[in-house]
Amino acid sequence: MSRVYKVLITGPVGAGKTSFIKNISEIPVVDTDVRSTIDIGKDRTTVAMDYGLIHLGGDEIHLFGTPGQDRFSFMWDILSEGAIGFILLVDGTSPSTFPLARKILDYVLSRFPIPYMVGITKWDTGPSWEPEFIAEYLDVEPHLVRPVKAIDRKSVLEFIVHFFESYLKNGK
Amino acid sequence: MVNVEEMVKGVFEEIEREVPGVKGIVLASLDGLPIVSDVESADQKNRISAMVSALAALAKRMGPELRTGEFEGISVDFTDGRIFCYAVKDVAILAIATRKDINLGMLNLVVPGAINKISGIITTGG
Repeated sequence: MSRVYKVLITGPVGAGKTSFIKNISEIPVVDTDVRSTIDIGKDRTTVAMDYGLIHLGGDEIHLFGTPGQDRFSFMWDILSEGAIGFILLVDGTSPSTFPLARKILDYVLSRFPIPYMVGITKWDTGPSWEPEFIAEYLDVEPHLVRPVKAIDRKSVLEFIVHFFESYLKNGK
Repeated sequence: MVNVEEMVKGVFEEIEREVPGVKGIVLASLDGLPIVSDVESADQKNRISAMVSALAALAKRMGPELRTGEFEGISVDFTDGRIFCYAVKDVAILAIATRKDINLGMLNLVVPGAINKISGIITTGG
């Protein structure tokens, strides 16, 4: 029997959350990107949510992406409701965003103690912190942290299949 | 010389004068930053601006989904009041918090002109 899962995709601005969802969604993604009026390292930013859907082994995975900027933190609660797992994306080349990543992780886990994994993005684009160092910074088990290319469909699929098979399926 | 903020606040005052029951007005950028506001608390002004832009962004996405055209505005009802959010061209969102018993006819009469004035002020500097 097919089951329905809700998974939260979160992380600081510029980590690749929208790309992550867009690259695997089987439906047109509902995005709320607008032009940024301040310098955040990119032209556009998510202000409410991203939404996409994939099927894995007959099960439906609904993907809800949060905005990355701190001032939209109220959306973390709203979008976390009912999620059975979350993926925290962190730009490995941008240590200035690690504190916000830690804040998001601690906040979501304190409210919703659900399975999660950390995806290190952009590690192939420049000098990047190693996953084990980021795991230490975030105070999470190293096996929960692994690299992912948010702009590469195959990489994102591998990441989410691993997450699904290892931590979500069968209520693990 | 009158600056943009003062000119927009002047339009806010016109709205508040002509429509009794307006409790607060915020003009926010599409990415959720306050442009002009008559909310005193900086923290509240920032949070309201972010929330207003999130609300409007989702509502905008519903237009194409439901084939109902371009986003013009939304209203949200609460037990003790209402919030109206309007698109100001493609550059900002005007949010007006009111009492529950606001005169809707008067609000609908006044707001379009106010939006035109604000649009002119923020896109051309007045």
